[in-house]
Amino acid sequence: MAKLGKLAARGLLAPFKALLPKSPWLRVLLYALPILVVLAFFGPALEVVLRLMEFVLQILQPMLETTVGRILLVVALLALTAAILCWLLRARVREMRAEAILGRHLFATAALVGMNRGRSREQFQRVARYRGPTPARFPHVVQDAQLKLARLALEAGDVDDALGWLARVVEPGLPKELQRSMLQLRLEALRRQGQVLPATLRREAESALQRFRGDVVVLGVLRDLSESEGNVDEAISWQEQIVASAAPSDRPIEQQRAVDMLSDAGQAALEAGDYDRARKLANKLQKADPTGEVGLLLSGDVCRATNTPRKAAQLYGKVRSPAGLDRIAELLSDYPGVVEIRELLAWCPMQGILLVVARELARAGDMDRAKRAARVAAEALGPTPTTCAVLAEVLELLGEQEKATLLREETVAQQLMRPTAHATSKDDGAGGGT
Amino acid sequence: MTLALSLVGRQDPETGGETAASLWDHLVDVALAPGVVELALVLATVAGCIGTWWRLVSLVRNARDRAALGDYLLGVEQALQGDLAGAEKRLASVLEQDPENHYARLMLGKVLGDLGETERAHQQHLYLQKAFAVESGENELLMARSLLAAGLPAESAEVAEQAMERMPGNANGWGFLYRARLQQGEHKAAARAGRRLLPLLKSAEERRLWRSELARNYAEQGALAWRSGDVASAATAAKAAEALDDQHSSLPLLRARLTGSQHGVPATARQLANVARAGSPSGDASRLPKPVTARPPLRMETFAGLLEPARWVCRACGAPLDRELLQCRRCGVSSPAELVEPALTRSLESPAEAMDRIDVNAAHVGRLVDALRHGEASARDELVALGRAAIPALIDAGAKGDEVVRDMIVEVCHAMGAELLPAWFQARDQHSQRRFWGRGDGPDSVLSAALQRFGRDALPHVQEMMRSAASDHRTVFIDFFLGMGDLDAFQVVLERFPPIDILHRINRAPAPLLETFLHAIPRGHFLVESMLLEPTFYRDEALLAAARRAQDPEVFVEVMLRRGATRTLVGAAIDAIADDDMAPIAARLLEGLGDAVLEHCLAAYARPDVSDDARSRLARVLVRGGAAAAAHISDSFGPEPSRSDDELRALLVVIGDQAVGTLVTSYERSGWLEKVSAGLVSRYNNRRLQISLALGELGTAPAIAALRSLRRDEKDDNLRIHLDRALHLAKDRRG
Repeated sequence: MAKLGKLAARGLLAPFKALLPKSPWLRVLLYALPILVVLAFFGPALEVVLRLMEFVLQILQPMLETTVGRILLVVALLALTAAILCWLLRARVREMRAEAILGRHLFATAALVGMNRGRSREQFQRVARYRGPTPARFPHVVQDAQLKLARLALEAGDVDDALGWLARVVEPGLPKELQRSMLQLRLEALRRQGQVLPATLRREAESALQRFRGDVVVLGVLRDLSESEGNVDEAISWQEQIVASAAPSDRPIEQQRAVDMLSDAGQAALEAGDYDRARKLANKLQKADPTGEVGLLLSGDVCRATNTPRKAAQLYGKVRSPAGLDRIAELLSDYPGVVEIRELLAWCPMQGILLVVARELARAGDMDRAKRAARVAAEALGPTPTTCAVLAEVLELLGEQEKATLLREETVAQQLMRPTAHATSKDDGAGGGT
Repeated sequence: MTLALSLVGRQDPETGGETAASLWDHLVDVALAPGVVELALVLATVAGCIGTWWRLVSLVRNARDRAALGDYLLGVEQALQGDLAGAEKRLASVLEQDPENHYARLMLGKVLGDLGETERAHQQHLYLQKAFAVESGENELLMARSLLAAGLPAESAEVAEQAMERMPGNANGWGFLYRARLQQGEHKAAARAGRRLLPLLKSAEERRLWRSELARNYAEQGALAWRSGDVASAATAAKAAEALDDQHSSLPLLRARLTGSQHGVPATARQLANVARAGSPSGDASRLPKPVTARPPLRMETFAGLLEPARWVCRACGAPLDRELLQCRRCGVSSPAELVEPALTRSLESPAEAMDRIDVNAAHVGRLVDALRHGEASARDELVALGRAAIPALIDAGAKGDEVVRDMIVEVCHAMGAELLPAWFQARDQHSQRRFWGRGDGPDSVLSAALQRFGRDALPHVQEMMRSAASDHRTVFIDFFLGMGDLDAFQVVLERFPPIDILHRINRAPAPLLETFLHAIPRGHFLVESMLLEPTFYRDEALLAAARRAQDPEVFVEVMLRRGATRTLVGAAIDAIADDDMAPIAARLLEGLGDAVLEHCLAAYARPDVSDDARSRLARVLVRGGAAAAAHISDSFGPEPSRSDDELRALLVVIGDQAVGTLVTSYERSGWLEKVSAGLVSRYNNRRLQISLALGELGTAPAIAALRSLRRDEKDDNLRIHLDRALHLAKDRRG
């Protein structure tokens, strides 16, 4: 029955509803109109209304007569209109503000991607100041802007500003991508700020690393911390992780750094007399950089320090670079005659070793063989600066000062002479025919 | 407006001032009219509202136009934080949903570049530029980066140049362009980019470093200009470099080169070398580099700071590197290290050989000798330098080798000097002791040739050695003295060695040596009697050869005639008659030797390979042989007629009447078959026919008489006919 009544009521009211305006406010006004008409019949009430209107007119009248008053009235009217509109359209205004701030954030991001740092910072600052409703499609727009601002500040070297922006970031609810950025930036800012206790920084970094394994920035902070604390092994370990996680374009540099760190640690261990550790580091170096020279050089250094110069010479000989020759020369200076020349040539079958041989023979006073070795070296190597320098030294050792002087002069002259057409272009280092 | 009015007033201070004032009053009146200001306010407010609305709408539209917006923003953040894989994935998905999100594409390109996927990165940037017509400096710069990573520095630099036209304030861009140009080897273009970057750098330290870098660049430009001969440009570049950083390590070499161009290289080099030695510059050297006193173990010599103490350089930009880096810090090229002196690390082909060379042991000398045999000049020089140590191996090689090898070794011996001759003989003795079944001529031929090569220089040493000479050495010494052609010196040989030995050696001496010696023998010298006329002297051909160049050939002719017609001499003389120079002597000799050689001459005459000249000369010898020659000729006619019959007959005709008697005798001589056959075998043969013809052709009275006599006695009909014909021919000739 009730349903039947409802259906009847709907049917009766339907034409009226169809005639009513669509806007709910106009409908309210329409509904209110009969009530007001009824109220108009009530004299006192009307009186009150009229008096109120008169009162208002009395206030407005003087204002309407002056320009300033009229201006004030226009301003007040416009403000009231705007306020009413905003109140009436508040949902849409909220939505529009959110979309607008998102649009501004996009502009800022575009400027950032387009390397327009100034414009990007300006726009992000406006986004970061925003306190209105957040856009549904990206509710973390303010935090993102704050993070970007912190990043820009760090890039510009303004650590305090960066910290300020980071401190304003509301963390709860942040997506993990932004969290990662925040942790990275905070670590970096704290590290650069320099007043934070290392323990605090380490704790932060380690917790960040637990959340984001393999994060190169966090690993870099941990590596720097370990280095500053003198914990070389740990630093090396972090650096190895960095190498594993680094972007391909950065990997060569990080790899180089890892090798340098291992090498430095090995040298430090050597100087400290910790030969076992140095040996381990040398092995590690050879694994980390199998084609490089530093591992073998360090192994050789360890052998040299442990008084096994022959083994050291063998290892240096395997290094196919001038550094290996340098070390052999050093070794022979410290341990003259420890290696037979024939052995040395077999262990280090490079043409450069002939120079070492010539010099060692000259030092040992074996003049004839020294001369012959010098001759062989000169023929094999040609008149390179090193060849000329060492041969001049050999000549001095053989007591032929004038020839040595002449050789040096000729080498210098060769550097000053313009190469002929058939000569190689890279003559600066290689010298010419002396 | 007020300003405008005041300007009007200034233009016409007398009348215009009033006009301006009235206009101003009028405007004030209008403004104060009711509703004007209010209307203006309302209009301004409405305009402001519209403007704000328009801006808001554009922002909103900007946001609403983008799909996958959250992913885009998070992708950008991931890219910034270094999560490249995550960023790539997210940005790629953004582009799938919103392909027109250019900034997402730009960022994706950047991320791909960082991931090392240069081709894909370049594709994204190319899409932006070409497909979407995005004119973005940043996009072009990233495209340039991908091109550089792909190993195309020239193309990269071009694109980067375009990008920097759009964004000249981008310091990173100029830095990138600088690196790209360096990788390309365009130092000038790089310097232009570097100059643009300099004012954009913020910190003083950065600017200082960059000035230093630019100084290197200008120094390199200067070096290039200097190499191409443009000294003026080199000087300009040097000045530019000095203005930027006058202490830069790359400048000393350029300065020194310019100084060298100005004052001469030798003087500058000497000065620099002195500076290096003295340790302090002086005078004009004040602008030259200071000496470097630090001496590394195996010195990378800088030569008074001229060179930079780096063993490695970047293969692209030429910057010195302290070791083998994975990436050049200056130009960014990967695996840049290149050794300044690559020869230092080049492999020794054979360490053992090198050591042998230093020790100069037998193996090394053996190798050198082998190399010498293959014609390597360096081996010769080294063998000469080795001297005494190389001699045994050379002797061994010479003993086994052919003539070419022997000549090479003789050259080496000569280059070593005569003072080492005793060592050569010593080595020869050692070799002889070892020698069992040797190949070749043995070492004596080498030593002999070597002594000849030395000539008179070897005389003191040879005389010294002869005092203790072993009998084995006689051969060499005799050869030496023979080759000297000095009879006074040869006296030593005569005094020391038995004549039989000397004669034996002379018989075996090489022809040139013997000839030289024979030339020296004057007429009437006792050696002629004591040696040349000895029956055991077998070198007649040497005598003949010596006569050729001798000042007095008659000495040898006389000796040869006295020695008589030996087989060797006759053969040599007949051979020599073909030689224009030797022909007179040979003819004279053959004629002088008489009948004994006529048969040999006739045999040579009949040889088909003899030249016409030689044949005519032999014919002359035969003709001079007269009746004896005619006898041999008439015996030379074969059983059947041949072509040579005519020539022989002609010879007989030339011999003339001397031959008639011999011919008749020869005609009448019967063979043994004729004698035993008792007339059964015909007398008619070619010999008799040719003799009859010869007599006919001769046509002299004795010849006719001989023909008649023969006709008369002849019983053979055929021969009679021929004799009749010859008689008619003779008569015709005579008639």
